Amino acid sequence: MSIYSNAKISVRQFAILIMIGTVGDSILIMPTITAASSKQDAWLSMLLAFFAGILTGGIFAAIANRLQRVSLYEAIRQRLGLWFGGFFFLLFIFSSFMCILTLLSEMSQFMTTQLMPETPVNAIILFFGAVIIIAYRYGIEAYARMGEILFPVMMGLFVLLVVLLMPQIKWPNMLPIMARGFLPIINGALPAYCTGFVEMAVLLMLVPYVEGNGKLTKHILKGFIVGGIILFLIVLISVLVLGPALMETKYYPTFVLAQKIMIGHFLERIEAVMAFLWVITVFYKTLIHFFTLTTGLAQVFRLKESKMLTIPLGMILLVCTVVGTPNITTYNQILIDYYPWFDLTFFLVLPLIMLFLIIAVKQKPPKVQGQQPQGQQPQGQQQPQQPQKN
Amino acid sequence: MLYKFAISMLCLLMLTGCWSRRELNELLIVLGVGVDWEDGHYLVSFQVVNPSEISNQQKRGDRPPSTLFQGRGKTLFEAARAVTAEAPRKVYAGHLQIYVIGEEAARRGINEIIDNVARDNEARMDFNIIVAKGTKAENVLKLYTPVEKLPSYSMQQSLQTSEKNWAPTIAVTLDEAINKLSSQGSEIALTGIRVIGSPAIGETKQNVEKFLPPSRFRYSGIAAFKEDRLIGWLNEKESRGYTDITNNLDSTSIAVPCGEQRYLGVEVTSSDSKIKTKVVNGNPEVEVSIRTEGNIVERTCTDVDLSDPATIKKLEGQTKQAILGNVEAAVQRAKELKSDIFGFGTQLEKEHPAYWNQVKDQWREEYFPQLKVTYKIKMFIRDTGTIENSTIR
Amino acid sequence: MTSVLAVLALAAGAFWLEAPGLIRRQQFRELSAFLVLLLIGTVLYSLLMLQLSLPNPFMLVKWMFRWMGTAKSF
Repeated sequence: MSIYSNAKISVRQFAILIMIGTVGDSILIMPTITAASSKQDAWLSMLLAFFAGILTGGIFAAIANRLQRVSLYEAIRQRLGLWFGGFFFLLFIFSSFMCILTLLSEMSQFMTTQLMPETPVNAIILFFGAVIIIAYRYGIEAYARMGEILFPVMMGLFVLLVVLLMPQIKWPNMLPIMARGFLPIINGALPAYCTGFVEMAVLLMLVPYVEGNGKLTKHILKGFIVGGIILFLIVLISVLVLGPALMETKYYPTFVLAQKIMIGHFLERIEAVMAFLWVITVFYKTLIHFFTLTTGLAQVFRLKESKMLTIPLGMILLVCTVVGTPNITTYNQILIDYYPWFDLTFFLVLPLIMLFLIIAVKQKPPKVQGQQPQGQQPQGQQQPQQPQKN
Repeated sequence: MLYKFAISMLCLLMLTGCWSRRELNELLIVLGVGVDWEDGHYLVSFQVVNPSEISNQQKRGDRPPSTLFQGRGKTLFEAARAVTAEAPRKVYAGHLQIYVIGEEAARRGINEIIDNVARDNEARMDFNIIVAKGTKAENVLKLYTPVEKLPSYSMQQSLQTSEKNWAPTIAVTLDEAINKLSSQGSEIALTGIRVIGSPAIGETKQNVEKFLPPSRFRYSGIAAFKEDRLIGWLNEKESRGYTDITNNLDSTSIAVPCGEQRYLGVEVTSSDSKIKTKVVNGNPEVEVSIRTEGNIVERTCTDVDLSDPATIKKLEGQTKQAILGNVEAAVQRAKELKSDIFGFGTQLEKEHPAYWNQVKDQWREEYFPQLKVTYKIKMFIRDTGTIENSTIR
Repeated sequence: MTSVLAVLALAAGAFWLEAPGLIRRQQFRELSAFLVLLLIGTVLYSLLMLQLSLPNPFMLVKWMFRWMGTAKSF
């Protein structure tokens, strides 16, 4: 547990963190990936992923509500015992580790492809990692507040992007609708669903820090819905303005979208400003996953602090990212073909097992009496409330 | 205290500049690129800005406002890097305005050229692509142009202005080119540029020292491609028909004959066209509907009475014939070349996707040349300028 | 060689930053976890700087789901 275990973030900050995390790196790469399968129906893929994501949000909300502000690790350990619970939780953390690798890869590849081609990847990841570590060490309250401040900036930039591109929309780009059947749409929806919505299973780690004791369903769904709408609009605008051919060709269609903004020959070339938008979203998603990794590791090994683990973990993450992305082609193949299944297994099946455990299995009493901090006390009293339907 | 001091000292390390920085005076700003195919390798010409010559503060010398650097190579990238053997800086393609492809290179295929430009992370999508007609691309970029100091800028502005006002030209940007090249149902068409007069004089400052520059550029004709190879040119009449059908025509001038070598001038002020496809008995049919509005700007025949509505109706009919002539000529020429530059195939794909799936492989060779095209043209003359019938006898 | 020294400097910096506080608060369990991770991180990073080829973690993902093939099958 971090020494800030009594840190509290408001429900609004929680919803904002989820929203920014959902947008994450999907805003950069999803237009290409969905268009690769479904061409001009990419927006339908995204819509499908959106609805599936809302359902998944419901599952996460069910878990979050039943946790009653107890940390996820404690809830698992009390039902599965020390060793099984620890192993189960370690799987969860492991997938968070892999997710950070993908996020850091995306960020560094974007920087080296579009903005700073001669910069070595090491340097970019080093600086990005350093900011993540510093943000984590300041505690969840600090970066949740920062998220609240950056939220209007992000929304403002996004609205600007959409509105300034409206004059360049060509509606025929959307036709013919569903000409190639339903299967390509599902193929395109799978990576979008996994990267955008399933990977946000780590919001369960944030639950113990949310103030109050109320249900979190509304806020989780709010975050998912707003994030999903942003992603859907981005894919829709990409199809309408760029057309399916260009969407599929270019690696980062949102960057091309920002390049295309041209109002009256004076408001142009603002893509570097737009880049701010996705730097924010990728940063927050990486931060939430890093939080999961570090705090989770501290909890599994029953450490009292997690701050000191940040720098070594940062080093390991950097090395694994650089090693994991020898070139963009290898990375893309793994991301599109294999990674969605990995996400589904670890971030969907595992939470479903957790939900089953939390509903069905009675808590075992804690093994050693004095070791738990005060926050665990309400557990015994809530046992009679277990059979309540959510 | 020491901690804060240490942190601020470390922050100073960040102020030394970033890795990929390029100062403004390290940039070789390229405005125009020309690609030629010569003896088995690419000859790439870069028209770069000479900043001291176009600045308002520095004293103007007698250097040209732009310089041409050329590089040779087996790939376009090699040629671009080979330029540094002659040029003092590395090219910066962020301000590219015009991209000229030599006719021979275009006949060989423009796929590699477009692929290279699309992959580049510095080049944006807003420059125009043109084909050099009957000359090499480097000759197009070596011209002194009057009025505008930077020839590439002059050419780009001329292309965009003539697309809006004169019609037989289209300003194709890179994203449009990629979209057309990627689709099976339409072929790309690029405007052609010619150099009138001798390039030898055009290279020298004498060109702009005369009243009428002996060597100028002129956009003439649209090049039709098949897949990615240039296969033929459309003349002015056919080019106007092409822009009309593809809804690129904003304004142009139509001359209506009204007597012996006398023509009435009609200015088209707006023109919208829609393409609708039908499948009749398993055969595709296309209906082109054009709605045009215009003004009368020149009345040379004194027997035409502009105060009579019947005359206006008659003139509308005659203008309609002229437009129809343009459009039919364009379709005829495209059918001859077997190149669907209008995008009829793409429209068919959007409206009848199942049928398109069956015919798409034979569209180019079989279905398009026999396509039945019908026209529905509506022409409205709204104004006659500021006078009705002039009182000049 | 210099890059490896830089890595070691980074590890020393991390140690200097964290260890005194942990020792002072007598959190030896935390200290050992920190040292283990720091050792792993330093070793890996030094190997990277020496440009030795390290195993790709994504290959683990690929091996786990190797039966998916091209995954276009649904």
